[in-house]
Amino acid sequence: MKIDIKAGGFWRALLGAGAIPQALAVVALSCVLGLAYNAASPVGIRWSESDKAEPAKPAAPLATLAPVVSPPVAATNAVAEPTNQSLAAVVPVPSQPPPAALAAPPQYVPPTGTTWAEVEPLALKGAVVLVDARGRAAYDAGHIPGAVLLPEPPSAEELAAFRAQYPTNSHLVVYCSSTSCSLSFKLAHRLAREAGYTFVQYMTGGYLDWQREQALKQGASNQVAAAAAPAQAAEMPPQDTAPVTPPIAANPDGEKLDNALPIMWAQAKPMLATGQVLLVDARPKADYDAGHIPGALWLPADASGEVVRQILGDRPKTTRVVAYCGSMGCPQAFQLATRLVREFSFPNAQFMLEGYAEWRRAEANQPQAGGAK
Amino acid sequence: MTPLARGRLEVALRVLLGLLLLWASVSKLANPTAALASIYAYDLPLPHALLKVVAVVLPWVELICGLMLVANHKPLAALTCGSALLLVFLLATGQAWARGLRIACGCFDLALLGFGKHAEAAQAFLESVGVAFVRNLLLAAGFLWLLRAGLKQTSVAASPISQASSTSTSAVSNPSPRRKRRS
Repeated sequence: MKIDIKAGGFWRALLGAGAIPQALAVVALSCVLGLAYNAASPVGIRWSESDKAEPAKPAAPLATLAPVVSPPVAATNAVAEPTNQSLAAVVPVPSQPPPAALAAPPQYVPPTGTTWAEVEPLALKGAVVLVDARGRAAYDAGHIPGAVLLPEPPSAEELAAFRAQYPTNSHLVVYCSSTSCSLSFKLAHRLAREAGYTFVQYMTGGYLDWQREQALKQGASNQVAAAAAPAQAAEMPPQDTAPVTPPIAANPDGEKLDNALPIMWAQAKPMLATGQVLLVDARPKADYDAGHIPGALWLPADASGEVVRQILGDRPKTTRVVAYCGSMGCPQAFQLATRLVREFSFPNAQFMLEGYAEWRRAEANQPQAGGAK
Repeated sequence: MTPLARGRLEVALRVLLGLLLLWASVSKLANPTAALASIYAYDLPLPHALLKVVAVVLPWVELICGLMLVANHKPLAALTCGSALLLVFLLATGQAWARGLRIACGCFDLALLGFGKHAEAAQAFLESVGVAFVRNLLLAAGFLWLLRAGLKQTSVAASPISQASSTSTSAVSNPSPRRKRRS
């Protein structure tokens, strides 16, 4: 063993031995076999339909490109009439009914993605079986009310017990911790394929999505209370004395939450005055131009990384960036804040529970209220 | 290390790596959608269509490489392929570990080996991305070592001066690609 292969000689020897073309041939053969097997397999991966629901795109991203010359909005008008859109968004409305699978054939029906907003009305009626795919510890620390524990992977006994209790035509909704967990996806497919359930869905947002919806709802009830209360001193923001911290902080199994946390306007407002908060408007440019919260920068939810860096400049990464969008429940603020946390390393980025519409109403009592700058 | 011991070690390592690849392959083939979910969970900035292709093709690359290693058929090609695979795995698990993603690596399924019931802890350990990353490092080292050894033997065999010493070692140590070329 005198002869040693030098660093450059390694590649030369590899090429000389003809191993690389052969390795490529292995990959090519794998492609052929894999595609053929997948096409023939009843449980193969489908190409056409999305197996996992993509996160909802921000509404009308192209509108940002259109140069809209918006007429100056009179502050009084803007405050006086809340739009129908904002009213509709306050009430949690299922965006679309889940697909009916009653007439489904008795073979394998692949699970579909869903969200808590769609599931909630059904859960209230008791029309769905919520299945918690996380472990016992996480379940004990907190779960969606009414959820059944079935940790993934379940043992044969657990699966049999589950099947004995719930008939195979039950509508199952499986969830795990958050968007980055895959247990619900796996368990949903297992239930559909191995246990023969014909209507299985998995909640893409997981337990975190549910917590967020609860926080939103709590914010909404606070707003109702604030509106019902007699007009207080003009300087006081509504419910300023008792800002409710959303129950989002619950973090049972020490899991790293890389999602942005919510904040209420009542909490953000005093910090905005002292410059502790950087407010960003995640709506399209036209909406921003038509009116925005004073001091807010325009930063659309679908902005490219370059634009984000340009707008945020060299602000310290500890900056508490608070994103808002059109009205309560709109997706862009959550999307932008989550992107800021995940992609741009602003761990303190948050999304505002209320939107621009709620802000206008909340500030209606204030003498200095002004829609557009 | 004597040539004999070294040859035996190489054979043992080659078969072990081949079996691991076969295990990983069958774990994925048994449950393609779960494998796809595992790949999605890595949250890679790649289009889902591409990840689907990976989910379809990857188990077969592992299967063929594993079979070639175990059968000692063109081991250099299989080792090259396996090293490239491990490089990709290292990147994927490394980025997931660095970002603190709490995901299952989707590597091996213990249930296939008959440990269904009491193996949750072992499975969780096996599947955590940190463990997977370190394991991939070791596996990559194994692949590269075998590849280097295999290349050395071919280059030694090719040069007429060292023909005698080469045949004396490879006569006792199994993995000589020169001998396999007949088939």
